Amino acid sequence: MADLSVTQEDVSVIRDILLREKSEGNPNPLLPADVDLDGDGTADSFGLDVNDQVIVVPGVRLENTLYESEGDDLNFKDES
Amino acid sequence: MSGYVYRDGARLTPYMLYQVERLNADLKRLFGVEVRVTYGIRLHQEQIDIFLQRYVTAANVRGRKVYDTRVWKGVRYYRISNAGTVAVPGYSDHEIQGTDSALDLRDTGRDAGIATMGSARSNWLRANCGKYDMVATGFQFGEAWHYKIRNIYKAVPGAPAGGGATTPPAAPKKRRKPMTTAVVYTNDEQDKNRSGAIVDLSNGVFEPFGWFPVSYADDLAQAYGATSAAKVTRAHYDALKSAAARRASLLGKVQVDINDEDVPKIGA
Repeated sequence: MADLSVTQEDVSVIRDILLREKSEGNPNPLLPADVDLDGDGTADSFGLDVNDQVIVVPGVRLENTLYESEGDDLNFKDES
Repeated sequence: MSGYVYRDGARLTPYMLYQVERLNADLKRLFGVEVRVTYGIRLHQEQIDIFLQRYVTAANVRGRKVYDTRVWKGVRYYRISNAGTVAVPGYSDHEIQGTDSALDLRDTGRDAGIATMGSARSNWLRANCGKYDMVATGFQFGEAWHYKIRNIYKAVPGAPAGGGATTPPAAPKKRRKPMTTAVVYTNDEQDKNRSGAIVDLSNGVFEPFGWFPVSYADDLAQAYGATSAAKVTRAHYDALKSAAARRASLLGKVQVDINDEDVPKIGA
């Protein structure tokens, strides 16, 4: 179970993050509260309700959230 | 610990290197590419450093794109780097967890191959990683390059003695205490002193060591290699003495009958 505790400052920042994503065309942005703690590929996530207030959405698949992991620190380059 | 080895700048144990080289040989044979290790073992401070490179607190998000959050030491952190998620310090696979650690792998192919989810080489390694004592854990969080590796302190097969095995820092050896030996002392108190004896019933030993301060009981037990010091009634004390005498007789030992009163009072 992810730690879902948030301060008022967290709620404000999370809301800003999600509203910005929404304004950029993502109708239902979800921000992982933690990353796949139990290895099932899902994460409890923060989302917005119909009044744009921050809510918790449990068990969202990571690919349906804002989660990205590009691996650009892997220094991909053609050595062949 | 000492005994780390390095490949591609990544910190490994000899066993991790052994498995990487086995994988390398198979990748060369099957696909004509070589493996590269991007990350291996991270020390705790290194985990803290990389975590803080990618995560900031709420006050420092400042309008940047955020990819996930983590809670560390009671504070929520926000990932502002798309390079990849980073576990909270102390909980990363890359920090040694028991006898497990983690590897981030790519290969020398044009598309990084084994690091690219869904590619033929990635699918092959995902299916065969168990042959290299690896577990494909990264797929659960979108990082095809991340593999747990087990048994990292295992000796390298075929290595000369002492040349391939690493072990975690040895814990101090605990003194093995004979389980049959006990220190007993009576509950009849004389000036805060008690009468005590070493008892080893299986060997017919009952050896009074005289009066001693109660506060010494545990130290005395340790000094005599006993598991603990036990307070018993005078009747039980005498019964243990008789039992030890019977056992000594059965074993054909001659038990020297030392009267408690013959043993000098310590400190007297």
